[in-house]
Amino acid sequence: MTSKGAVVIKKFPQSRNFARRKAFLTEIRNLARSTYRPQLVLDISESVELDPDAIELLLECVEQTERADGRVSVIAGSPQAAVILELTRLTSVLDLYSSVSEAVNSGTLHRYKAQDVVQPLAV
Amino acid sequence: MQLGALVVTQGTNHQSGEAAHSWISTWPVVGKTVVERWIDRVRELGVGVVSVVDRNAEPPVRIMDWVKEGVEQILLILSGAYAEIDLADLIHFHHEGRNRITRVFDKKGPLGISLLNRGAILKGGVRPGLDEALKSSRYDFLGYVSRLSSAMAYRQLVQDALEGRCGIQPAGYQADDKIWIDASARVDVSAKIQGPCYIGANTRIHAGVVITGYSSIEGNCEIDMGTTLDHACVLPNTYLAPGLLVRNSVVDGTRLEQLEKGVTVDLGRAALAARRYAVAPSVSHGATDRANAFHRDEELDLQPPMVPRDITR
Repeated sequence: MTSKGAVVIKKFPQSRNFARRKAFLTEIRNLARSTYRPQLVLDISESVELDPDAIELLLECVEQTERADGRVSVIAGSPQAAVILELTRLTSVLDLYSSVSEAVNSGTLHRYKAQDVVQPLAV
Repeated sequence: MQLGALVVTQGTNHQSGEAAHSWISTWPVVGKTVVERWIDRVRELGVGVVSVVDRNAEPPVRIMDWVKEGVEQILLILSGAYAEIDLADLIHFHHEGRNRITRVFDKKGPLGISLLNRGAILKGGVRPGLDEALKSSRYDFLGYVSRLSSAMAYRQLVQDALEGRCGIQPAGYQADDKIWIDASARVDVSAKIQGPCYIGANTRIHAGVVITGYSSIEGNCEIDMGTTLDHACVLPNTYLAPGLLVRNSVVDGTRLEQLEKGVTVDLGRAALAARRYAVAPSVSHGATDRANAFHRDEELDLQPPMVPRDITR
């Protein structure tokens, strides 16, 4: 089954546990395979600052989603995380929002809102 | 008449948190700290004795010894601000008015610069110069002042120095219009340097780095490949990782202050920056020293100094 432009909201893993992050990436890979143009919203609002592994995982998510012609948006709760994302130029490959509602109501995701179901997935 | 000068620094505590910016006067501004610039100006004036003390240090200084040795006036400078005061004119004003204490003010208030007579010092040491409640004569200054109360004020001072809006002359040679590079700095030929900007002593700029928008990189820094600095100040002994985009910020080691957002971030946790340690080349290295990758890089790198070629205005 292939859905078109579905908005998927996922909590970004907080722990530095390798297995936990690997499992998360597998989920994203599966999502990218099964969805056409997925609109992935990653909620990193609980991360005050990002470590190198988290940045790498975020890049992997962008890569997987872009393979399916999708787009990644990030909810950066803390200004520190937003600064790190800008500093590492990640904001050039993903959209940055301060809250889920801001992301959903933004122009990019809004056009899918009427026809697609927003699927918040608890991780 | 013998004149002494006492420059009081505001402390050098880098660990005191985000709100405290008292160490800013010890940050270099295009090659020299504000304290060093004060000392230069005081020396140009022909002042006999000059002393630099930390405000928190006890006892503050041997002021009384100075007075006993014949010093008749003391110029007291709290280095919290940079001000282009004509010190000779201040002394002249003090003499003419036969003042005991003269304090310098600008339109925002006192600047922390006082001239004290022998009598005032004998009565209360340097305290009369610090105590604003004491009766004193007022010297109004209308020239260039930077109070250095925040990282943003520091950034503005750097920008003004590079633009020539104040009397600060960047150190190093002028490679192009408004581009100053210290002779010991090494800049890769592929780096793009857009003036006005400043690159300090022993700093290394790697391939593909872009420096623009009144940016300054102070001494002993390393900016790794492809990083862009735009309206940024990099303080001494700072390493920046490859591929970064540093904008409207002041970076000191692993501490980055983003001026637009007013946010301070520890880049060390994200491995995006590090503190560099300068080690003299003649020192023999033990196991611990060899672990210092940045120093080893300097030691093993035998490339000749590179001359910046792609310099655009």
